Amino acid sequence: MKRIILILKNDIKRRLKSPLSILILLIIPVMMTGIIGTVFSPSENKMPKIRVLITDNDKELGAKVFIEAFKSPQVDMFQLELVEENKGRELISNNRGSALIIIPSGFSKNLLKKNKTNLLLIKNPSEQFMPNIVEEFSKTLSILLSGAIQVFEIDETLINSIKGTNMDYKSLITMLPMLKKNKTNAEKFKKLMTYLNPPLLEIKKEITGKKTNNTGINIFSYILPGISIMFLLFIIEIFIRDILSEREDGKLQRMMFAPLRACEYITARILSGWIMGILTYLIIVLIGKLIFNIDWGNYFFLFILIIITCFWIASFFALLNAFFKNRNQAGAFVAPIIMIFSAFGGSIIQTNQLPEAVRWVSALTLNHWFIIGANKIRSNIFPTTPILILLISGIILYIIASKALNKRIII
Amino acid sequence: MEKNILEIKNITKNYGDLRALDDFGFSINRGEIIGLLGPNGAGKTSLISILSGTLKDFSGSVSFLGEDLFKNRKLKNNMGIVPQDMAFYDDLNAIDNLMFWGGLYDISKKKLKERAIDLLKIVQLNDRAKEPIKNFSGGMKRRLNIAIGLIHEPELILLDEPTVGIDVQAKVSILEIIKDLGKNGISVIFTTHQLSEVEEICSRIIIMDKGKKLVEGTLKELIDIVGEKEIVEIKGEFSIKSMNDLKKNIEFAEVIAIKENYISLSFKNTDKIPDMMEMFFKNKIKVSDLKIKSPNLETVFLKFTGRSIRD
Amino acid sequence: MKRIIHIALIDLKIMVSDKIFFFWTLIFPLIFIFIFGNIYKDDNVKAKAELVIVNKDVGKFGKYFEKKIESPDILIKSLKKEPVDYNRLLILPKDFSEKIKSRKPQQLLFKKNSNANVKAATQIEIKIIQGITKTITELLINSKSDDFFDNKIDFKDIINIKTINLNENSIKMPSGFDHVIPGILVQFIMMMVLVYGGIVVMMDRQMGRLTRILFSSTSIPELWAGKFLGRLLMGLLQAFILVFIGILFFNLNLGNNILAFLIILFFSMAIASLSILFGSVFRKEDLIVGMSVMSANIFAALGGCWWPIEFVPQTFKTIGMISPAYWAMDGFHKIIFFNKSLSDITLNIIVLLIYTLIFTILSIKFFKIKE
Repeated sequence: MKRIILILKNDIKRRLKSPLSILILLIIPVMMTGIIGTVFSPSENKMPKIRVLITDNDKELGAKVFIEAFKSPQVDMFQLELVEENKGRELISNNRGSALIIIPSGFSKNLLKKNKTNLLLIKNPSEQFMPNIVEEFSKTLSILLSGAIQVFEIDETLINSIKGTNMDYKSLITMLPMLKKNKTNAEKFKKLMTYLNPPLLEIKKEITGKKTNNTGINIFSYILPGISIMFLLFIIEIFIRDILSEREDGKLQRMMFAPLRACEYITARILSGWIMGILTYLIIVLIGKLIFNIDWGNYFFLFILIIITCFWIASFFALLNAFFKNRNQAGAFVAPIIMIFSAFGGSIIQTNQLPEAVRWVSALTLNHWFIIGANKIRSNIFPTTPILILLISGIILYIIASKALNKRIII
Repeated sequence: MEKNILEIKNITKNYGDLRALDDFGFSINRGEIIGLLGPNGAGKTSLISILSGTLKDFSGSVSFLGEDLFKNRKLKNNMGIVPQDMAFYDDLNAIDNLMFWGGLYDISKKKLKERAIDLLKIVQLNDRAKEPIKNFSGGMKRRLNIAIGLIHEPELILLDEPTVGIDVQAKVSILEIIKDLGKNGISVIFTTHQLSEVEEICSRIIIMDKGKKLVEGTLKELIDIVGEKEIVEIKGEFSIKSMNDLKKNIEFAEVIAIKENYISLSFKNTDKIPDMMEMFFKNKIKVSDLKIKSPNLETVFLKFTGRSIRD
Repeated sequence: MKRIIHIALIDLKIMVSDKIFFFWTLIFPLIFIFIFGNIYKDDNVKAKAELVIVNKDVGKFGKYFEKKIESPDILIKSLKKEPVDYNRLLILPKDFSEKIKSRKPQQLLFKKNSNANVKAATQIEIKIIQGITKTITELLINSKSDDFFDNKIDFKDIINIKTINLNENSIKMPSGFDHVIPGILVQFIMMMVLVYGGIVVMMDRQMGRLTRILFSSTSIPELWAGKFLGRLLMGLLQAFILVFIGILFFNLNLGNNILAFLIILFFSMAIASLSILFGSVFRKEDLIVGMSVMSANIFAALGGCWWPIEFVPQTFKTIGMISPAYWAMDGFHKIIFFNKSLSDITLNIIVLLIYTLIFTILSIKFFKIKE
């Protein structure tokens, strides 16, 4: 035991003397969390509005209603600009708008006659999501408008009274009772209200699966665990790689000349990676709290998860190092393994974003179970399943690693 | 007190079909410095691994201080190693390293500290004790390497090429340290490729090759085995086969070694050299160089191993 | 020049002969392309979002409502019982028709599996809302008829949204891979050149190879130029591999290939100089790897390699301009999506050249032959 503690103390001392590489591996996840969190922060004033350009060649009621719907305060996600078609095309081609909607002349007249009419949509090709939102919104709006036209008899008077005015969304709403002037419309209007208040058909959403109920809205708390676990893998791997470097540079043989047992050495190495990993992750927890104000949830649960996770990682890399011939081989294989763990385990993208065909791979990764565990802990739930899975697999890895390493040391 | 501090008997170790050590054995007395010589692949690394306990499945025995080395782990407290590699932590300073490596042995912290300070004086690093080792020169690192091997006051130390890659001045200083070890009653097993170093400091020499002990004795005894004959080394353009064919006709000298374009022979009477040259010319063998040497450890080594120590 | 090329080629050879070279340059970016390409896949080519409808309805309206939700971009699976595994599920209750007939309000249970794709769920939700709108409209316009399904007047999609291309002559809309591959290409040029390039410069110095080279008639400027060219070739090789794979398997369209090459060339030049700087300044392999990964990721994130640029707040876009990756990505966007010409990407090229100049000056200043 004395020798195990000595090796451990020596490792800590060594790492403190040249901490730069570890510090960098600590800084990277923090910086990445900061960047991703800031970009995807749900805070409304930070989210850019979708810039929609509309060319109104109709200038009558149909177009008005369509345009005003984009401006409606309930939607509040578009920044609308009325432009001439050429100007609109130019703006899109200079990447200064998400989509251009061209309302053709005669749009309202065709609508009233229930004749099919086209709205032209030009999407910004360099954007991937915003133009699609504009398209889907326009489609829904078209269905509503088509529906309204089919339900109500709208006469020319109403159209003419609006023509040429600059009525906004609110004013247009006040016009609605005018529909009631027509007797048939009045009945239909009444009926419509009974269908909509409360709605005749409505969807009630329910989230299923094993998702925990996160009440916090701090986006960083979703990002940091995933990214930090990826870098924790790298950090503990550096500590555990001493097994290979000490064998290569003769330190192991020198140690074995002392009254040190091979099993003591193996325990010391795994323990060192384990404890250093725990200390490192505690720093990440602290940074998360101080910089990103992350509420990690129950800190006792979190500590248990960290202890078991670090044990798993230390055992895992000890096992890998028992099979690697030298540091170069380890360097070549370890980074890809970590990156695959991270890509499929939810550190790089959420696992539910993965193509469904490969989603099962994530259950084989540490990252997956750690992220699930951290999410549960944030909701103050003890992550029994992740902890049991990591603990049992970690113990198995430890046993195999110890035996394999012993065989490498005592030939 | 027992005479032999270490006694290695009949060690045989195989790696599959390859025999790394073949019935190998020797013993060393207290305060004795022995040189263990062998070309690459002689079996030295296997022997060191057996002594460290990292190589199992061998036959034979190792007795240290009268006990089986592998049955009493505590015995290792009296044995030290100075490996060929700079096996210590570059990021730490000299004191930290001495404290760590010494800490692996059963020795009190207080004593360890005193010993570390003393040793740094002996290896003349006391003024650099707290400086990171990465700033040290090659010679300084070699001296520290020795200090680490001695930190726990071993009774036997194994020095594996402790002078590799350093300048003459540093080499002289290290050899002085080793000589002093012997004087202080510490037994030393010294391996090197520098035969002159062995000639200078070792009281006994063991030559091994292909896992076998080929010969053992003092320098004088070994030279006597070769005999007081002149050694002639010839270089030219000839194959091993052609020289082996010619060998049968060489009666006036003893062939020591034949390699591609190289032959060494031991002449009792150097007057016979012209006869040999004539024979070479008759057989159309081109000779480009001829050297006559008095017998020394190098010729002894060549005789027993058939190759140079650097091969 | 012969010596410069000689030095450059040996560095390239060191990189290529690494056993794991093809993982880093090919397999790993492919995993990224595969994952991100699927997330950001274009609507025209994407897999249909799946919806399971458990239709327990005993009347006719259940089937009718299913028809109203139908859309070319969703795949409806109609079942009688609730399955164990599903991504999205809509339940039409037993009394669905009954309640509609009696005009009683009702809530339809829409279940979303938390592990399923969020984007597909939103898409389905919109379709259901559109279906509800159509249903209510038809109920209204047919309110007078006694039997809804007899001589029913159908909902008419009067307004059709017709999506047209910005450039009338462009054949196809860019695919998800056209968005993803340039970002991954830019990120991996940085990763590969900085890591491999940096480590080799450091090792060359520490193992005395630089000193040895200078014992030949090679001058220091030639040595630096050789190292620069070697790293530039590393970047171009990485780009070539990804573009080749992109064209072969993902139908990648880089717009004007010559302009795309220019962007890759000038970006690789900037990163080549930076890698010499890293190799000169840092003395440990771990440190070079750490700094390279950090810089590559931060530059990539700021430069818009990771996510669609429209998500990024304006302030962030402005900060992103300090990243060379931003200028490369902006250049790619201009040529891939907007068919812009050389004059439109001149600014991008100038900025990348300025980066090359700055990194070159710094790398020359710190370039050391010995430790």
